[in-house]
Amino acid sequence: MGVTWNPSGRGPGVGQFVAGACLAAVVAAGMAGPATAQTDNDKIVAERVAANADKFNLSMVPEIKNKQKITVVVESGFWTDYLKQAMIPKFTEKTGVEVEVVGMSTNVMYAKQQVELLGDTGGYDVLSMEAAYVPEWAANGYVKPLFDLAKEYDPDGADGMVTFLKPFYAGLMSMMTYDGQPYSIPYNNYTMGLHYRADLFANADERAAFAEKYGYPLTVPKTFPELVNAAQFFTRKAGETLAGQTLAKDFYGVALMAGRNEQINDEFSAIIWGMGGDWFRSIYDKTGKLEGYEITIPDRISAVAAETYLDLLNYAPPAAKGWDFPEAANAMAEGQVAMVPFMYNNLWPVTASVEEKVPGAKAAVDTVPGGRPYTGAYGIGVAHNAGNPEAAYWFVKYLTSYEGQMAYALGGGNPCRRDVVLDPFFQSPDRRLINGAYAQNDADTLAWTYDVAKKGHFTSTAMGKIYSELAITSAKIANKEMTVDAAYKELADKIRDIQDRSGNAPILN
Amino acid sequence: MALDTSSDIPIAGRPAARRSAFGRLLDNDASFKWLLLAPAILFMLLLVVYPTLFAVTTSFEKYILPRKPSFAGLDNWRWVVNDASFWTAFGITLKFVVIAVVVEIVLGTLIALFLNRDFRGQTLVRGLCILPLVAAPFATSLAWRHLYNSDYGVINYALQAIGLPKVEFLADSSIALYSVIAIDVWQWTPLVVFVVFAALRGLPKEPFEAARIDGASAWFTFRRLTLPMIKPVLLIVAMLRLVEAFRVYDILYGTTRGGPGTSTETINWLIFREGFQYFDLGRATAMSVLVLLMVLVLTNLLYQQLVKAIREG
Repeated sequence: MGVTWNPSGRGPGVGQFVAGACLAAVVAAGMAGPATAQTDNDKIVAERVAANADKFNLSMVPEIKNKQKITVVVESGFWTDYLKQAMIPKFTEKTGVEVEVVGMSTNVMYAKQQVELLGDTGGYDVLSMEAAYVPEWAANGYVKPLFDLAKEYDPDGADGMVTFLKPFYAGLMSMMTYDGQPYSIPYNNYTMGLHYRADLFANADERAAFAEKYGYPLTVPKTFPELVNAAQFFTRKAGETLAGQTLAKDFYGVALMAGRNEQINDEFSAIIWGMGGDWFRSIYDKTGKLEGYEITIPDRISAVAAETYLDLLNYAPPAAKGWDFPEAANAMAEGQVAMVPFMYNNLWPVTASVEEKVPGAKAAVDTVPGGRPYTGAYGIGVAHNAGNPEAAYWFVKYLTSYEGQMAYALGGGNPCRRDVVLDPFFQSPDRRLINGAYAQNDADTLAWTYDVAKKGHFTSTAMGKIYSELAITSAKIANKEMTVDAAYKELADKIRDIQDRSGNAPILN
Repeated sequence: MALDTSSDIPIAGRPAARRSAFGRLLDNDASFKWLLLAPAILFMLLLVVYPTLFAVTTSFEKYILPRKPSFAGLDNWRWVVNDASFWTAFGITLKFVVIAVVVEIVLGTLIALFLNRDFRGQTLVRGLCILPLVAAPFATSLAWRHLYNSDYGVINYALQAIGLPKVEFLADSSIALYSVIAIDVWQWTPLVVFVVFAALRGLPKEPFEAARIDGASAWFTFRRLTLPMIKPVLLIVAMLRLVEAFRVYDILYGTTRGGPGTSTETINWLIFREGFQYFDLGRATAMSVLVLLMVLVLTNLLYQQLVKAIREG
């Protein structure tokens, strides 16, 4: 570098050597850092797999006859990088099947995959399926049923698949199941939690001031009025004090995902469900067959939920009206807010990083107020027109195996297998900033076990479309473009229209 | 078959050579003209006429993928006309188009007038002016999203440095649309600049010299000479920008995504959602055809002005 480039014709100077040495050091450090962490994780995975030898792992994948390359869709982000660097090379080495990874942001995942499926292009072998897509894609025959694949390719057959799926959260598996068959296996649990600054809630001065102002002790909010009060209490201007420190910038009670993205409707859902309400609910006959849906909005519960959200917006940064989940999580990470009341627990590593950025900060997680967090998962399944369904099946099984989910958890993800989530390895204090939300997430995900099937959210084949409309209405309400009642009435008409045109069962009311 | 060139050119005493059918085609002026036009006509038929006809016929069908289409009469059209979201989005789009195009034309003309003189560094300045035009619209929108950011964006930093409060350029619904328009103006004004600059360079010098000799002011010269002469060019570039501005999407995708609320939700955004998220082709094409008709009306108005300006010139 600095030695060979020598336009002056004289020997290399000291400056060039120093520059070259610095550059080399930077490159070496860059290469050493991630690779070292990856090697450590590989060792941990190998140890855990060896300690759980009875569980399915990569070494148990039989010979795959079809060596055609497979294309896999996953959510873009850290997971995609880890998949490419750590897991796929192992899969290819074992099976001889090359794997191409296509990372997609969640905003385009439905539309992009849908276009390929509708066009029958065979572009993807393994699909990423959010809970809302499963009924539609399963009903339209876009995804292969897992039991059928197991019968065809797995020596353990369908019974083996039943055993394989046992450690997964029943509620999440319910979302990935249609007409009694699982079509997808969940790998990324995004159940929400209340992420908050425990140091602020524990500060003696703040506690005294809160009790004096509101007449009850400051506790982690369990109800929505408590949440609004805490948000109001912690919202301060620059120059005021917070936990004994003078604020250099404005500080806010909450961060919200109030931008024109689909996640705003997850926040609304958490509030509506937490108050005992719904958008639209599934109605079954006595044999368990889905008869149809009842639209419940607009009703008093949804109206109060909207008013609560508007109240909370007063205590969120003004920029929140343009935020999606990364910005909301970063707001806590950067010490800008006291709470993110509805945050996906797979973003705990982001919110918890506030401890590294703000001196004295302590992050914690609890159940969302109302106790009904937005829940769900991303799963993976095999496309109906996969060029290599055999390899795709084994890839799905590998990725969601104890080994695969362990690797996912080590990388900071929120797995969907209880045997991984509750592994003592992740409960240790030194893993807290990465996996500290697991215990809470476990409890909250379990609480949904029997209620998932009651929600139109997780059973309608038109949910991929209805979900967008929920977000638009939530955004209109947040932006005060319409009255709450008018917005909900408009939404009710749209749900009815979409369900009638694209849905699996009629609206009954 | 090798060409027998020895007999191509008629020579006295030698009978004229027989031409191939293709050769006769080339010799015939009328046929040759159509032959040259054929690729363009084929292109138009395949990529313009057929898709337009497909869209028009689909707009009368209930066609939700993956189900097969069925005739739906005027259902889709009734739905579009009665859909409040459509008209709200249309209003937002019209606002976007009018403001963006007017600002681009005025600003572009002013910059072109400035560039149309000799000054030091003129080549460099002219080269720099074209840079926004070469950037990809989506990349541009992402860059501007960061510039607009209220926490770390340069624009808010500068505002606060001079004692002004922070502005939520993309999160405040009262100004979000104008913030997006500003991005469009930044990117597309150079197009106007260089089209008008080229027109200015092609103007005859004599009328301007005569005006200078007669003592005409700069404003008088611009109003009575320059503007009428470049009016056809201005109308053409306005038409081009109008059609393009109606199709705005990339800028929104990188910034507001139609928000806050629906304050920047344009018609193209709505059509994309209906067609590529809901896969309701019947409704999406009904909206598209209705928008096409409206754009045709607007461009026709401009076209009439163009014809008038050319005749006057």
